[in-house]
Amino acid sequence: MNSEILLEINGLTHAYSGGLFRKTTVFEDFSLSLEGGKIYALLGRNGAGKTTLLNCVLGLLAYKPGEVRFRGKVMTPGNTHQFLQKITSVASPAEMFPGISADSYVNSHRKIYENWDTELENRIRSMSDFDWTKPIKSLSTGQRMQVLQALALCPEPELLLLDEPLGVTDPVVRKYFYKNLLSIVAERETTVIIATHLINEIANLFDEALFLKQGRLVMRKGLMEMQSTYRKFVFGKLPDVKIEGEAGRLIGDAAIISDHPEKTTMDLQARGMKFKPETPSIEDVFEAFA
Amino acid sequence: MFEIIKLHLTNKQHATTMLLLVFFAIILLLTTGQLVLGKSGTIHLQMFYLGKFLGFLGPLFVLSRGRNGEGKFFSRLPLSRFEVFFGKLIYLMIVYLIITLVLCAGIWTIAGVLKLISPSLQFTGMPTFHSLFQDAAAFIKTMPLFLLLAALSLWLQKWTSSNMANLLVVLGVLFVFGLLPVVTALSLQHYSITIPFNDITDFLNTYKTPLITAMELGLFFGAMGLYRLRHFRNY
Repeated sequence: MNSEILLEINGLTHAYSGGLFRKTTVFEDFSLSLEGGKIYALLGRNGAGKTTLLNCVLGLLAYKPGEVRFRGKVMTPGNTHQFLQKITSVASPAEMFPGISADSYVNSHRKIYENWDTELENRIRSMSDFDWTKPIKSLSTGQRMQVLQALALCPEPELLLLDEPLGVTDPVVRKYFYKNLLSIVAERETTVIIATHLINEIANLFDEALFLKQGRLVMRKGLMEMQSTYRKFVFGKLPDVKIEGEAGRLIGDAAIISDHPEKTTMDLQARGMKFKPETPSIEDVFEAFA
Repeated sequence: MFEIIKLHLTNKQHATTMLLLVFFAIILLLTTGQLVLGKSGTIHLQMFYLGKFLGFLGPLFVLSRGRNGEGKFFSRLPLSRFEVFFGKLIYLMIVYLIITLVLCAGIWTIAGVLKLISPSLQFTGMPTFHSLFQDAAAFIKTMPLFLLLAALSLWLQKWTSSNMANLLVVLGVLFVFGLLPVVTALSLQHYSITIPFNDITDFLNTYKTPLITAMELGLFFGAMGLYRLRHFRNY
């Protein structure tokens, strides 16, 4: 695995307008560095800043101050296009031209990108169940997503940004998408950032999870590390007091997540409370941190 | 750049055809009306000279980046903003040429057919090479200023906050509505309403062109701000 730093974000600040003279800050002095060849899950509730972060990296959003570096080179909104041969993303189906066929899309992209994996293109085409000569407007959202996935994967990117890529697709498409994704990552050491709410679907896929909360990176861990660090304590009824080591509560499960399991166990025993310790799922950790 | 032109032409071919059909329908309707009602034996064939319209609206189109966030789609590609800009510009010129030439051909054909049926008919308003050349000149003359502004705004877009865009809309609207009474007063003078203050009249007469230009600029910046807000809401 390539452990070289691929993407660096330093001191990023971004705010959007909430009215004529009102600004809402999404990121303030946000920093992050990502290694090459890894799959990162970008997690957080709605409004945490996932899409904004990806759009800043893509140069779709301006930021001031701040710096984004790709392989050590500074990317600015003005020069981002020079890096986009190596950074691709899955666009929203709503962004597509309705009158153009999937074939035309693929053909034009093949000419624009220096590297184009024809074999992968054929693979994606053979897995699809629609006519690629039909205009986009006659395709379903799921079928459009398949075209968009081909457009993002075939240029052999070094960094692939996926913002809720499978929100509307059926299970077969999802399965093949992840299969493709894994094969590409394995073959080419592509770094992938997946922003998603479907946490369990990617639980076995990512190397590291990045939890965002109100524009801050509140946790960064791999699944194994996460499960060894955190412990889930299930109760009959949630305790009324804050337990030592408690990192968050799972109200629906009547459980707490602890980042210091020994301290929590001792505290609970001292209070004489009955509990059942469990290994938390990534969704549990997400809920606790959200 | 070539790919952008091709994508736009393919995507907008249906809309362009519809636009042409609408123009033709109007021309045919007007011609039929004159044939049925007219007694003079002269038919006025209405040619649509689009040079000025497209010269003004074209750069706005270049600027707007279209609906459904197609600009965002282009922004994801490894193409500079200026490649996208010039791609759209050339597309615009091609569309202008296509629409004008097809409309001309249509009018000439209608006139030819009518002349065959009734050789005594006379035609006015027919597009000539001279009028087409003038229209093309108007298209080319109207575009540069607005293109410059569009290019400037494209460059500024990445750095313009939504607050600034809001401000542009407000300023644009104020500018236009602030100047409207002045321009109205200017045009009314020709219809025997006299403004008693000669100095003011002289001032307005002297600065008529700059005022109208300023109004157009106000309109343009207002529209630019609106587009900016519509398409880059969270910029």
